[in-house]
Amino acid sequence: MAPLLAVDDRIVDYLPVLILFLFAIGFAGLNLVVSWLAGSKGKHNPVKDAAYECGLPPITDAHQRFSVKFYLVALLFVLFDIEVVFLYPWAAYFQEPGRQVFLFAEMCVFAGILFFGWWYVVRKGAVDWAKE
Amino acid sequence: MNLHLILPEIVVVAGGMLAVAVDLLAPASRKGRAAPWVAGLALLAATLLVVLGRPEGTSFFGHHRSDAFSRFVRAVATGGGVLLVLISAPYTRRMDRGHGEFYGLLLFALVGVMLVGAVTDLMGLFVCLELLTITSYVLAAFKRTDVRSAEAGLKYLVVGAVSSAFLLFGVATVYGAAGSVEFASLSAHVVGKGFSPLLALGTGMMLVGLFFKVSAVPFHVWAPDVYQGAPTPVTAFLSSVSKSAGFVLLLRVASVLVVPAAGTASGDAWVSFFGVAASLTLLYGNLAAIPQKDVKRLLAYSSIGHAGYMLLGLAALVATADPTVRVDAATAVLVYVFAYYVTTTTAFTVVAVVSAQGKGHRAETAYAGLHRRSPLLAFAMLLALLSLAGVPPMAGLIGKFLVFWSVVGAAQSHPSVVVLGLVGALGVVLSLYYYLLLIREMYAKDPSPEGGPATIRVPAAARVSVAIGIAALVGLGIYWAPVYDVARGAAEALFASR
Repeated sequence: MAPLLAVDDRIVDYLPVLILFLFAIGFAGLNLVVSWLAGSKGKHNPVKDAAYECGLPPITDAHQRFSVKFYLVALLFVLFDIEVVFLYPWAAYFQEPGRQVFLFAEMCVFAGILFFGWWYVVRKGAVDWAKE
Repeated sequence: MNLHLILPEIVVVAGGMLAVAVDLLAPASRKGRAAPWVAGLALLAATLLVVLGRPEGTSFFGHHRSDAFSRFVRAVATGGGVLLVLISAPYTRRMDRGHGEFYGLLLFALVGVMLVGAVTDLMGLFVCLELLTITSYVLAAFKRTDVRSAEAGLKYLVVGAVSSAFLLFGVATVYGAAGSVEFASLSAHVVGKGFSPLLALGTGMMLVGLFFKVSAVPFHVWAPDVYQGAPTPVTAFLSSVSKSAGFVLLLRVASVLVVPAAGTASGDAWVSFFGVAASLTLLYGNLAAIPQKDVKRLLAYSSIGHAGYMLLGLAALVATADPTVRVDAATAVLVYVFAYYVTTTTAFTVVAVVSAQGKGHRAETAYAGLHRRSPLLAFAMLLALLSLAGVPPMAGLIGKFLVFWSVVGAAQSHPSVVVLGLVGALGVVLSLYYYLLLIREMYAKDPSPEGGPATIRVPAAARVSVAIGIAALVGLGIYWAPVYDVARGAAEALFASR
């Protein structure tokens, strides 16, 4: 039976991930240390010590109502930001010789459907927040 | 890239987008006029493309296969979609907003069903099924100011999410055990290596996920509430389209993973798995339908019972060692799906028109003396109920006959399925009782004063759909050879493509 974590050559491919981890930890730690060293001391009160001094209170009742606009923004984000991720694999494949015309037409269809959604959103007034 | 093979799907997607666009551009006074026409014509065009064009071959690098099986599924989805548009038209006329969205979502859901028949791997299976279910959540909650509709949508969403989780976890486990998601390699794996415990677990979870979709006991609890709360055209859609997609996928998964193990010890375990689910579903659906006073709930429980008969066909399919009987069983399930589709859309057309009177769905008020208030509706409902019960010469009889025939065939290699046949026969007897109660309500009682106006005006679209329904119910019951031949071709393609 093979060991659960076989250390072979392929693990080396993950070295950048390890470096990224170390960098993230170092960056967060450095910021904490610098703000502790450079920040003004002695002015402690509950508001000052809160995670976000001028934001929403972090601990409240869970039964809160959010405006539906937040969900609309989230949905629109999915539509126009995440979907565009599909452009990357398409662009990587675009150099395939002899298929450019087809690939271009394919992306036109994709973008057309995407813009149809955009047109629908604008026409429905989903981004028209002033209207009540 | 063979784009002509997915032309029917392209037409339906374009139709859905056009329905949304047309409704958005229409002036306020003309909202909702054009959307049903656009949707209906797109579905009609797609039906003709499937039936006359006979697309054959694979596209998208083998991820989409057009064969007799997928043609059958697509024809059922698009042809049935036309009926659903006819049921929905009078309903959406009374809405004040969201006409285009209703038809857009309906058409996108139907594209999901059309694709379900053509998938060649587990990933495609999941994505196509999600296209169907996510649109269904919105449709079930479409009357969002109505508490019951909102409840139906929420319940359907939660249960649907759980079932998708089961399905996806099953897919992941199967991939982990067999190293592939392609149907052909999965079958080869089962033939070569049999069922490892991990593969059995994954297959079982996938089947459970699909059992949720077809409301098989014990995964049925959502069905009555959702069927009752959703707008009636959407209920018709859920009980016909959604269910048929579930059975198409069950046929696919059974033929890919379970059938190759027939005759081995694990094959016998799968026979028990399907057999127990079929008997529980049959008995529960038909027994729980008896005390129902609300016609939509009654039809919901009856739809659970009918899922039981189709599971009976699947049990026969996995039980038999004889390839001919296997094709018989798959044919039986497909014919049953088709007959049930025709019957249930006819019944829900009547329910939609009666409930448009605004007096609810209670059998003893809204349906009392229906034959005096509208002879056409009462007659259509009578035929639909007789077809659901399997009384000759209705379409429902053919489905039941073929299912029982395949159970008898399977009994030669697996004698214990005879018990399933007996359970099925008991289910038929039980179901006759509550269908006849409703028929008595419509024909032997006087109209109730709480039941609404003395005569019911039937909208033109509903009249067309009732006429098609009556013609199909009787026509299919008497002259069923063409549908049987097409379904048999589809069943043969199902096993050939494996």
